[in-house]
Amino acid sequence: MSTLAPLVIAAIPAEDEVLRTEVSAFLQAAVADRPAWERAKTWSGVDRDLSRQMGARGWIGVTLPPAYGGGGRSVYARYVIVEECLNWGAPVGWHWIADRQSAPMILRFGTEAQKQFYIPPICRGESAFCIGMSEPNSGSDLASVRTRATRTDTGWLLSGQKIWTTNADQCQHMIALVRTSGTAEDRHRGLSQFIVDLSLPGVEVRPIQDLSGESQSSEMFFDDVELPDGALIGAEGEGWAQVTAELAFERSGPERIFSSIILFDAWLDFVRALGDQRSSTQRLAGRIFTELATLRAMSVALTDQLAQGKSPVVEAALVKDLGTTLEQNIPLWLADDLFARDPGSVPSSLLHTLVMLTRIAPSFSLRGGTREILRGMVARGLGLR
Amino acid sequence: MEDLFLSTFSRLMQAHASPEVVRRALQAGEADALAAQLEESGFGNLLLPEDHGGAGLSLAQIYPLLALLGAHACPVPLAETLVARAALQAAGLAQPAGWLTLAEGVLAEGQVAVHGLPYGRLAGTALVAVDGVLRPLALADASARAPHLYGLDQAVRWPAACWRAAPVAGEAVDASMWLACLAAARLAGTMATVLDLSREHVTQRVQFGRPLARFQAIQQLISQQAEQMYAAQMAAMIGCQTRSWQPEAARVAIAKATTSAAAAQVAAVGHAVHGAMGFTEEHDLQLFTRLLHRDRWLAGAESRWQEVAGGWLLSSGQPARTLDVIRSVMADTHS
Repeated sequence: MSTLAPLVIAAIPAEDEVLRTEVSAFLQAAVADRPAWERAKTWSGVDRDLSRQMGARGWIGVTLPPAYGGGGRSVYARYVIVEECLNWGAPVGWHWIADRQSAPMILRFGTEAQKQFYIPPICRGESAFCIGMSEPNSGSDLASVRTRATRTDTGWLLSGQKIWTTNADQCQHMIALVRTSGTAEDRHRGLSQFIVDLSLPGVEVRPIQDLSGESQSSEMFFDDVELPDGALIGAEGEGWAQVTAELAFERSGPERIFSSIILFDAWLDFVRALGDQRSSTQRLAGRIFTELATLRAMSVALTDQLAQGKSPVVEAALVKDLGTTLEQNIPLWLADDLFARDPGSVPSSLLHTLVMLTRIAPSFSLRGGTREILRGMVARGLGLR
Repeated sequence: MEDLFLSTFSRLMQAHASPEVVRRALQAGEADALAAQLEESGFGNLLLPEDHGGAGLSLAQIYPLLALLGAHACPVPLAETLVARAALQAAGLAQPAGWLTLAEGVLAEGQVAVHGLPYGRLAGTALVAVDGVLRPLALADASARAPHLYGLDQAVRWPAACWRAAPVAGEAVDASMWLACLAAARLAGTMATVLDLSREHVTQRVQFGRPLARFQAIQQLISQQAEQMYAAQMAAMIGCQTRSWQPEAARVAIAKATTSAAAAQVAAVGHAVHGAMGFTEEHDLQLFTRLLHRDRWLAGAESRWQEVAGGWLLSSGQPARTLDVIRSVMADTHS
């Protein structure tokens, strides 16, 4: 029976923690004019100018080698920067995906030419990426993708469709998981990853309006798009292994625990200003605080494993499930509290933030792998399947 | 050195704290053989300074041992004894023979009353805190001892004269905070055992022609149980984060709130997947789920500690961002 290794309490090293003061002061000033309901969108918000400024300060690609424009620092340095972005509610969506997973993925699997070409602009905050995984008939069942790249004399011909692609309408590039041999029935075999230039002829991007009235994701159509030879990233047929490694980056970060923090902090401001020390208020504040403190310690402990070169895939799935559950409970519990109060006493800005979180919260346990998929991974880690 | 003491302790528990020993202790209030082994081993002195016959360890260093006590549902109050001896030594008082335990007491009507004295049935001395003043009271001097909610616990009263005659072992002591820290660590270990029993059962029990573990509904339940246990382990470690034998209040609030809430869920899933078999006296599951509920209640369940943490979070003077409050609570933690 396999088992999970217990997490060990870890501390962020002092040389990385020192980054916090400067990053925090910069972001605090950057978001000063933004209302809480807007800051609540954090990495769903896009501000290209902010991304360029952060790039200029060396805060994007901080873990990547200086030879490609990166900071050459540890995963902890990135943890500190990302945590500050989330807790100030900075709109960092423009560079978020490239910084989190595309650039590390190119560094790990790309050719020298690909690294030289793609990574420096990412680090400058000038190049945005999106992730081409889901398709209309491949949601949680990712291995069933049907979008296909076929070899030609000059490279590859791409045809098919992707969907739910975050920020696709804002990006220059997508890293797509597609089939290069066999059929959907071959599952994990015959999949490869490509870097697709979204300005090529034959690419069509149609934004999807979501339930909050915004268009954060798109559907994408590829009609015989001619890709150059250099578009293949990593080895042909190794796409599944590569994408699995990518998901470990995607699941282990603080964005899986702090998505509702702007609302919680706004609620705390409200009850502190009231001087409300009723026991029901204390319990609610303490419930969220004690869960969050535990989850943050778990997230730092996972970061420590990444820093040691480990890939805690199952543990990351487990923490993501717990973290997104709290993220979703925060707007539910706080709404329960606020709507037990005198209707006139709650500031409209707080209610506006609550509405924003209530609308977007269902996505917390969808993006990056659904709750049920994650629990299946944990069950496998426990030897049940 | 820590690994060595831990593996020695683990072997001792394996050999002498079997479910049969626990079952008998809960029924008959007797665990003499295990108690003798533990006394002889000297593990009760780990928190004492080295020049007082101890090992000079901190709570953080002995966390794995505290969790193992829960993993075996150890009926002897070793955790409480460890802290009580450290408190007595710090106060310059003599160490009484026998096992020690801790509690909050109330002084009224000529008596000191402790409503629930953990392991009172096996302890020789209780360190009782009344309004923050801590004094050792011999169980032999008690005027009344009655069964309490868990087989080894008791409701105990002493004549006020005993209390006045006892030396002071500490002032401004929050004994419930000490107990909460120890119970949280024990809970993490007990949860690990209930998870192990549950995994073992669902992989072996066959229904509809396949092991229960093959059913997605069961997999989802056990995954949630594992997640709760995993969070509880981290929280319990946070509670024990101190370089001394004295826990810190904010960290204990995190630990006890999280472990108590998790305990209820872990116990519920354990019984759900064991079916009627786990509902019998004969099955070991009940030894551990009973302890889960007892330690959930001990020194306050989740709401009490959420209230403590929340009251502190809402007080003025805290940083505006929750992240910064968490960072200040976790400052100077280590593995």
